[in-house]
This record gives sequence, C-alpha cells and structure tokens, in this order.
Amino acid sequence: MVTLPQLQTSCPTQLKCAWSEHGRKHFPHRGLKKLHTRHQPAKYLPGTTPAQIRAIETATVSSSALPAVEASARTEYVRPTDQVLGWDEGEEATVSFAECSGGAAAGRTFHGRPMASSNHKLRGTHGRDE
Amino acid sequence: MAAMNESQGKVSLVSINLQVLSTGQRGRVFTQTSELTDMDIGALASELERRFVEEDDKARLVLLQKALALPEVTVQTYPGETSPAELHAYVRAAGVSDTPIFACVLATTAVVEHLLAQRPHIVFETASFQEIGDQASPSAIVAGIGAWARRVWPRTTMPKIKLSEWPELELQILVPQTRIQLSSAPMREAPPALTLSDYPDVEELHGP
Repeated sequence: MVTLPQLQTSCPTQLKCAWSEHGRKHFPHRGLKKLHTRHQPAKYLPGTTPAQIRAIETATVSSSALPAVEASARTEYVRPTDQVLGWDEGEEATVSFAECSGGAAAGRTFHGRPMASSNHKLRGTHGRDE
Repeated sequence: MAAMNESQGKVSLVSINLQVLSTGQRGRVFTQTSELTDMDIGALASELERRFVEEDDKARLVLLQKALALPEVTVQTYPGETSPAELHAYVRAAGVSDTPIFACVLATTAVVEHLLAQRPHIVFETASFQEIGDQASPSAIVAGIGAWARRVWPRTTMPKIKLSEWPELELQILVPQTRIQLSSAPMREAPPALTLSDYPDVEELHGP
C-alpha cells in the first residue's frame, strides 16, 4: 500500500515565515519602462504599492498546500493570474512567483516577483520543495 | 571573516562585514543591537554566500563585468516610489548592451532602517543591494557604485563613472534640502505673506 504525503498548509503558515521586501529589488521605480527589465530583475508595474506587492505574494504562497516543509528547505510557488503584474525580461509578466527560504541564521522569509510565462524557471517548478 | 561597526548616534543599527570565502566577494549584514544575542556569525556568513548572487543575477553580472572593463560607463538612477526612497541604479554601456543593465539597489541608511524594522530584522548587502550612507547625493551615489563594484568584483579596476543627470522631479524627491534657495539680497516687490494688513503683533497676542 502506498502512503501519500499528507498535504498541509503553505510553508509560511507552517513555519511562520515573514514577508520580505527583498531589498526592493523587484519594486517599481519612477521612470520604469519595460526595457529596464530586459536583463532582469523583473519589476512590478509602476504604481504597484508595497501593500499590493505583499498581498500578491502572500496570495501566491497561500495558493498551494504542501507536504510538511523542512525549515532549511527552499520552497517555490507559482500562481498564474489573469492580469499583467509587471515586466520580466522585457515582456509582460502575468505569473506571480514566490520563494520561501532562510533558516536559523536569518529567519525564514518569503518574497516574490512577477514572471513572464516564457521564463525558463516555469518549467516544472510549481510548488516545488527543494 | 567579520568586522563589526556600530553607527554613531544610532546605536540600534549594527553592520557586520563578511566575506564570501569561496569567491572573495564581500558584503555587510545590517541588524540591530537587540538581535546580536545568539547571533551565529558563521551561519550569517553562510547565509550571505547563499544569497549573494541569485540565479537570475548570473547572466546580468557577466554583462556588468564587461561593462565595468570599459574606460567609462554611465550610471542612471531612478528613485523608488515609496518613502524612504531607494535608488535603482542602471549601467549604460554601449557595445555591451543597447538597453540599461540593472546594477543594484542603492539604499540610504533610512531605507536600511526601514527594512530592519521588519522581521527577521536582518538586511544583507548582496550583489544587488548597496548601502550608501545618510544622503543620496551625487557623490554618495558614485561612491556607492564604486563600493558595490569592488565588493562584487574584488579585483576589478573601476572605470570612470559618469552619473546621468536626474530629472528635476527626482531631484526634488531625493534631496529636497538642495531646493531651498536663500538669497542674501533683500526681496523686492514680493507679494505679502498675509492678506490682512492690520494683523496683531506678538505682544498684542499675549495680552497684558
């Protein structure tokens, strides 16, 4: 008999991970244009507030129920949306990507970014626990 | 390798200088004095090494290294949309890329303090994040780009950095103190500050 892993809640819920601005690397800035994201990093659309970014990324990490997550593991979340969230590699990004990682040294946090559907990271990373 | 500094007058902010042993790259870890208890420097160094370059950064860092090998590069900065505003710095290097290459986020001390207010109260200075001190002045930006490049490419010889002029709007947001113009000459034909001509003086207001 095969025992399937019991799905629990998302890892931020399991491990009480905090949301991080991630050094504002993916935050929009004044004068931002699509071409600024050509070589990465992806950026949220101009006018997207920190509260909105937090809401988007929190929804993304809450979108998957995962097996029990080890505190040292890095967990990735992907949530397709029906709207343009930002720009990624010079293209419109409609996917919300989030990563939850960290450990004892620096606390466990999650952050995210908008992602174009053509991004190579989207090949087989849905709700991945590394 | 670690060295610790405590900012003067702001005893709660502490920076720890760390080196990524495998590459020689360096970065500071900012935290608060209250978080130092039980802090494991070795574990912090490992965490910095893990975070220093993200997967999405690798191809861009190759371009940036090529750009910094040129005799001169232009750096453009754009303020973020929230307060306190960070700066998003891009390198323009003809022949390397026809589009701007993101260098790093330049963060004043106020931005670092804002980030430190959030859990887990630790900020890492990575290949994409550079603290530049209290002021976002042109000289601080150029110095910050130089410090960032020397941290990420320890053996690099810095090119001449030309800072692209900020649009007027950005100047007002970032360095409002420079907008205050004090004139030594008396003002002539200035409109009255108050519309009433017979307003009370200080003694009348205070009464007998």
